[in-house]
Amino acid sequence: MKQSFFTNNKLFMNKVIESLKENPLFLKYRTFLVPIISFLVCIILILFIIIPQIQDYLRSQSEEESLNGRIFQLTQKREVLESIDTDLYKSNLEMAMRVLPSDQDIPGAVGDLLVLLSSNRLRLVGISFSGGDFSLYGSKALVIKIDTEGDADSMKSFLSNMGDSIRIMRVGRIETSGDSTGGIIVSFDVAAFYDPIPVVSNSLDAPVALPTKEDLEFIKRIETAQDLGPDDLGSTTPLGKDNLFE
Amino acid sequence: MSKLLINLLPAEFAVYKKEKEKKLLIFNASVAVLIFMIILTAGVFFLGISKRLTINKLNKDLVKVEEEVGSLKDKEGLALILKSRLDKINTLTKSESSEVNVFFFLSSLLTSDIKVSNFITEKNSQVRIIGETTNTGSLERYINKLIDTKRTKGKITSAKLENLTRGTDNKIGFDLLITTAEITQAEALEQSKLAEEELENFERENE
Repeated sequence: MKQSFFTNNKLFMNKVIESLKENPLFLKYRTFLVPIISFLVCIILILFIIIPQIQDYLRSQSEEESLNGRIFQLTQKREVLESIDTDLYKSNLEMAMRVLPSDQDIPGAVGDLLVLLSSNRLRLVGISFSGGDFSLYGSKALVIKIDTEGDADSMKSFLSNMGDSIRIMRVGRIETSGDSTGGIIVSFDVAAFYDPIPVVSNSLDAPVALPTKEDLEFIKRIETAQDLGPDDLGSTTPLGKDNLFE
Repeated sequence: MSKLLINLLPAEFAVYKKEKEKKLLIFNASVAVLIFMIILTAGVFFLGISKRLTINKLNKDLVKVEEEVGSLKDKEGLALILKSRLDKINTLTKSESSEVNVFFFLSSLLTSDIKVSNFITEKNSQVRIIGETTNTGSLERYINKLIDTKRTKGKITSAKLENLTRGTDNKIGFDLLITTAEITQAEALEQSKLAEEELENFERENE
C-alpha cells in the first residue's frame, strides 16, 4: 500500500516533468527558474527571519545593557550597605535625636531652656506651653512661652546663645517691660523643634543616601558641645546700645 | 613551423556555448547567494539564541543581587532615617529667628539717652517700642535713623509715632510702631558694627 503510494507519486512527477519538457514557455525560461526561486527564498529569509531576528537582537542588546546597569547599581548599593557600621549609625542617630527629637520631649526642652536661662543670668518666673502642633521651616515645633527676669545684657546673651543650644530652638515673639527695681521682665515664645520618625520606604533601585562628611563633623560637634555646655560655646552677639532699657 | 588551427565548428555553436556559460554563471551565483543567505540566517539565529541565554543568566544574577540587597533593608532604613534627620537639622540650623534679628537691628539704632520700657514684636513684622527720653533731639535722631533708607538699607518699611506725651518732669514718652522687612543675622550684625563705630567716633570727638 505504502509502496504503491510512492510509485504513484513518482509516476505523477514523471508525468509533470514530461509535460514541462514539452512546454515551450518552460523551455524558454527554465534557466531563470533557480535564480528566481533563490531570489524569492532570499527575500523570504530577509523579511521573515533576518530582519525580525536583528530587531530582536538589538532589543536584547539594550535589555542586556539595562540589566547589566541595574546589576552594577545594585551591587554597588549592596557594597555600600554592607560597609555601614550599624552601631555607629545608631549612636549618630541617637545624637541627631538629641538635636531634633522625634516627639515634643517637653522635659528635655524645659531642661535645655533652664540651662540656657541660668547660664545667661535670667530668672524664670513663668512657663506655659501652647497646645497644638506648629509647623515652622518644614518641621513641627513645640511652643514654650517663658517669662523671665533679668537685665538687658542677660537678655541679649540669651537671644544670642539660643542658637547654640543642643536642641534646635528659635525665639519667636519677644516682649519686654521694665520692672520697679530697674531690671526687666522679658517674655519669649520659644519654638523647640521636633520631627516624628518618617515611615521609611525606598525603592530597591534608589541609591542609599549616606551622611556626608559635613554631617559627620556636625555630629562630632554636637557630641563635643554636649560635653561642654552652653557657656563654653562661641557667641555671635551683635552689639548695639549697651543697655536698651537705661 | 606554426600550426594552423581552423575552427570547423559552426558559429551558432560558439554563441550557444557562450550563452550556456552565462546561464551557468547565473545559476551558480544564485545558488551561492542562497547558500550565503542560509548561512547568514543560521548565524543570526545563533546570535539570538546566545543573547537570550545571556539575558537569562543576567536575570538570574539580578534576582540574586536583589535578594542580597533586600536582606540589608534594616541597614538601609537606618541610613535613610539618619540622613533625612541630618538634612532637616541642617535646614533648621540655617534658619534664623527674624524676631531676634529685628531686636538687634533696632536696638543698634537707639541713641544713648533713649530709655525703652517696652519692646514688643507683633504680627506682620511689626515691632512696638515704648520708651521715654528727656531730649527731644534724641528721639528725632532715632526716628531720622529709622527712616534713613541708606542707613537701614530699606529694611524698615515704616515707622509710625503713635503716641507722644510730655510729663511734668519734662520726660517725653513715645510709642513707636515700626514695620520691618526680612532682616538677616548678617544685616543685624552689620548694623551693630556701624553703631559701634559711631559710638567710638562720638567718644573720640568728645575727648
